[in-house]
Amino acid sequence: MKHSFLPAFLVSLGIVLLIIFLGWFGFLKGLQDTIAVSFFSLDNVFSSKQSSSELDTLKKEIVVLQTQLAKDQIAMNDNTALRDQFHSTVLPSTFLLPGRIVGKSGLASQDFFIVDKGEKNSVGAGMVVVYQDNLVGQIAQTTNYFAKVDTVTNPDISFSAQDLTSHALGVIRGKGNGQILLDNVLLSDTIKNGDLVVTTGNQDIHGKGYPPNLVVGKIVSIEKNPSALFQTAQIQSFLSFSSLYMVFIKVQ
Amino acid sequence: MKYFIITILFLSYLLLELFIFPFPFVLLFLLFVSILLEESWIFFLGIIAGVFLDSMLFHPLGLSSLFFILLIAALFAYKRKFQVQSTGFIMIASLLAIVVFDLLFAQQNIFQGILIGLVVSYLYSLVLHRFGNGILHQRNSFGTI
Repeated sequence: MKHSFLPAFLVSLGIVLLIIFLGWFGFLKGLQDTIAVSFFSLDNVFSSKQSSSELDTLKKEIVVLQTQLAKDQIAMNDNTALRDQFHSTVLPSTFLLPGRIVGKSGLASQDFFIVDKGEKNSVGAGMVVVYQDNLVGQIAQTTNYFAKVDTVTNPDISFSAQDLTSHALGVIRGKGNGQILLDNVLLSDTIKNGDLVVTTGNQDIHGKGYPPNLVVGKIVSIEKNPSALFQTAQIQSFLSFSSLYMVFIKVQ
Repeated sequence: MKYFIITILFLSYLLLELFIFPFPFVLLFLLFVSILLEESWIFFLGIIAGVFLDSMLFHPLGLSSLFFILLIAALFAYKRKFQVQSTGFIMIASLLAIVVFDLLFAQQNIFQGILIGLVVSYLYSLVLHRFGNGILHQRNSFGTI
């Protein structure tokens, strides 16, 4: 005997139509909310496991992205430094070798730092180091892949310089701890606060030494004693050695 | 035992569809149960499944239930005249059901649905032909075999 599914279907259809009707007018909102709330509490169990794994993935992605961001920032800094140096006028860019600072003497003094270029890059002691048209210092020692740069504040540094306004000659001496002194300026010469001090140039026949017109800094204070032979001045460099990132070594 | 297994499978597919992967597993489950059995409670199972899905997926309440019972009724009607346990029928019926269901409720990518539907229905037909004979030949509540 074959039974028909029609009664069951008709009853079901009636129930469904009633549900649709009641749902349409919002009478089953309570039922719908109850089901949703009950199932969402179950969902939390599923999603908490899923979200913890998602969180781990996202954390890993953040680390990767931060690393990438740091690399991009380094590339951007390199690009800025190279572009700035390219626009400088005192030294031709073709003579300059970019060197990244990989070690510093200390936060306060900044009397020397280490760059990632050495003898393998044809870097030798006595070469001048600049940033844009500003004098940074001089190569003091080299190894195969690294070089020590004494900055103009280093007590071992000494070279002739002149006041750009009065052309008064003097000798730049590093005093350590970030201080630069313009010494041996004749009493008869007139120097003023704010005057620019540049190198006079003392290159030898091989091109070694300081080229002329590199900016050392500006005069911030003057010490003039009538009984002394010379007057001295404190110089402040325009460069912040602590924030320098890349310098350029004059290789020819 | 049969009802226990069906209840467990039903709940599993419901949870799977709601929380793990947005594919109409419940629809396929009802379709497969309707092919395997011909009993009146399947309509009520379809109503309950529809109400749960509509509540959770914020569809208008009752629409999924209506779709399910119409599908079940169509399968029961078709079953009386044709052989519905064949692999071809199961796959075509599954695909049609998934396509129509997706068009109505836009639950997922329709091509993804078709692809998964093909695989699932083929696997189901394999399982049915291997293990389903015992159940198929049991007399059901409507008296058909």
